[in-house]
Amino acid sequence: MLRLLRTSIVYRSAFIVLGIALLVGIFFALLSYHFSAKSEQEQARQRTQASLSTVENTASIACFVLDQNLAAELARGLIKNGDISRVQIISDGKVLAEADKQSTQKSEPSALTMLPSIDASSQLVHEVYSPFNSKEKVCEIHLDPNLDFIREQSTSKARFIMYLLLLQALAMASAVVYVVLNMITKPIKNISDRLHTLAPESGDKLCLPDGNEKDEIGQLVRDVNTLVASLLETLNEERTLRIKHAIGEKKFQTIFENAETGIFQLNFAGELLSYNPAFLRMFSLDASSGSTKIANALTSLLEGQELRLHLMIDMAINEARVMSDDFYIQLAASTHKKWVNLVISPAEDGILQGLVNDITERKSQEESAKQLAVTDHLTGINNRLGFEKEISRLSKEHANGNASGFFLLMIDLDKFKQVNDSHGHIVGDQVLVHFSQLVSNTVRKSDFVARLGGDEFITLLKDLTSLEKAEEIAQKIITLVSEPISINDKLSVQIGASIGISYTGPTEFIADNLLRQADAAMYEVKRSGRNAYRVVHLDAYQNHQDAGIA
Amino acid sequence: MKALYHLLLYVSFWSCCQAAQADLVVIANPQSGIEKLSKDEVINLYMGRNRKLATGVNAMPLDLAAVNAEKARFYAMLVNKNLPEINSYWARLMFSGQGSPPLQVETTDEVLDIVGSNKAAIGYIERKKLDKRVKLIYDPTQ
Repeated sequence: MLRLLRTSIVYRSAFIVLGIALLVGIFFALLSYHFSAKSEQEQARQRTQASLSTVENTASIACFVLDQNLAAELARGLIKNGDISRVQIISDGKVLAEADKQSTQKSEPSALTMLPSIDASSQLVHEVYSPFNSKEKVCEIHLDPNLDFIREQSTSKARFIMYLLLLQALAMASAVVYVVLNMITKPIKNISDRLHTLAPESGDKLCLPDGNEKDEIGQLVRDVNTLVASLLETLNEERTLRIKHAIGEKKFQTIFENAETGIFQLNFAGELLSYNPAFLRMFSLDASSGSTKIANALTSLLEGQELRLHLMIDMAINEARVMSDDFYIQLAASTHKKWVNLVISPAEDGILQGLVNDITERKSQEESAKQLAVTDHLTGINNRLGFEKEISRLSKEHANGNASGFFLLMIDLDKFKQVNDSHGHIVGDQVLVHFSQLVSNTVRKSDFVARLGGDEFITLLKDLTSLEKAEEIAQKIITLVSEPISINDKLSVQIGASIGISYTGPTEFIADNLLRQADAAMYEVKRSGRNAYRVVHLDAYQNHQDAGIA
Repeated sequence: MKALYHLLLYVSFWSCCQAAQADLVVIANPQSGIEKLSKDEVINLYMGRNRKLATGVNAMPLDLAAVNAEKARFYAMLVNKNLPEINSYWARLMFSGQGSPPLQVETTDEVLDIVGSNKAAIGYIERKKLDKRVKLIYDPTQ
């Protein structure tokens, strides 16, 4: 029942209308009961009065002659009036006649006592005068009203009115039910049923219910149709947009996937968030290897250079700038180094976008150009520029105090001019190549060999503090160079070398001084007979050795 | 206007009936022991309320038959009612079986005879018919 009330407009409105109608009906029934009871009482009084006036003459005669029979007849006549329950005719204090209604049904006061104002004590006393002397009172007629009868009369009247009202309430309620059912619920039910099965995408629309075209329900249907249509339109637009977007996305995806440039995203800590295949190829990473490994690939590959990477990231974020720098990486797979250019630009939320390009080729071109500049074209060892760069580098190292001492060997070939003059430049060049190979093979790999020009060579024996060792090397060079050099089957030449040796400790040094001293020592050797070595300017070496001992 | 008409009617009626009533008197036997009766006593006797005389004997009121003109005049004088009303009155009492109307005689002469010979009898006659056999006990003019 409650569920019906909640879910059905018809039941609810009927219930409410019925309830209101019942309440109003009961109210008016009570009101009408009250008034009809009163008027009924009044009518009863009037009827009684009328009865009395009918019998007045007879009563007066009966009382005049004190005729009991006549009086009794009269009382019996009166008692036939339903409104009267008891008649007494009293003459001079004596009861002349009396009549009582044999009231079979005793009143049921339960339902009736609550009803208002039936005057129970309203005994009617009528005085009767002599028929011949209107001043002489001959008797009194005492009448008791029949309360039960009056009550019953008024109750039945009130009940009738009440039934009418209730009937009216029922009729109204059913009318409301009918109206609500036909004019509201049915159209709404139809609409809602249609809505259930509506397929708006195929252009379905709600149809207007008959007879409701112009009222609120029609308006509702039109509004729903408009709403559905606009929703559908929006949906289609949305769909078209989504397709366009997907196509665009696909394009970018293709670019992303197929680009030769590595594209990636990384966070503040340098961890990779996303990357394209080119990125993986560039760093020889396997997509199937663990995600944490890939995430940390950048920092692990740039081991030793991660400080620069973090600096880039910091600056990119703090200054919102696009940062670019070159890094070299040592790939595990191949032995060769790879140079990459990293461009990092800040995106939103502490995420950075990065591009990485392989610049190994460019780098190596640059390097070989540099190498070319410092290389002696004939012998392939360093030229004067190379030496100057090396010595200034060493001078900086020594100035910074993180170096050890080294020996400088100034070598000048003996009898080279004669070879050149007698056998030609080609043979001279061959001799120079031979000599540079000889020296390069004699010294350690870490040592430095350069041709300053002509037949002048220089060798730096680095990280060496033992004079004996230096002298040993110098001697070895002299010995090896004095051996005959076979140019071809017929020709063999012989040359020699004069070597001046200078030394510097781990302290600061002046390159020109070192050169000059070595040069001077070398010329001394030349003057004193060639093909020997001389160590000059041992003060510095001595001082260093002393300091080492002390 | 209406009041004036009523007054005229009343005056004319009174003068006529005064004259008519004047000649009717109530009589009794001289040995009845009754000297005088009031109007109410006459009414009570004739209308059946009292059945006994002051002397204790049962009264015997005599009435005239309806053919006599004196009868109507008597009741008009006594209770101011016409004969049909009087008849109706007695009819009700007779119906109840308790009361009976006065004995009816044909002529005034019979009234005189009965009253003259019966101590309990009373009757009404024209004043001019009074004689020694009877005694006047109620005179409306007095």
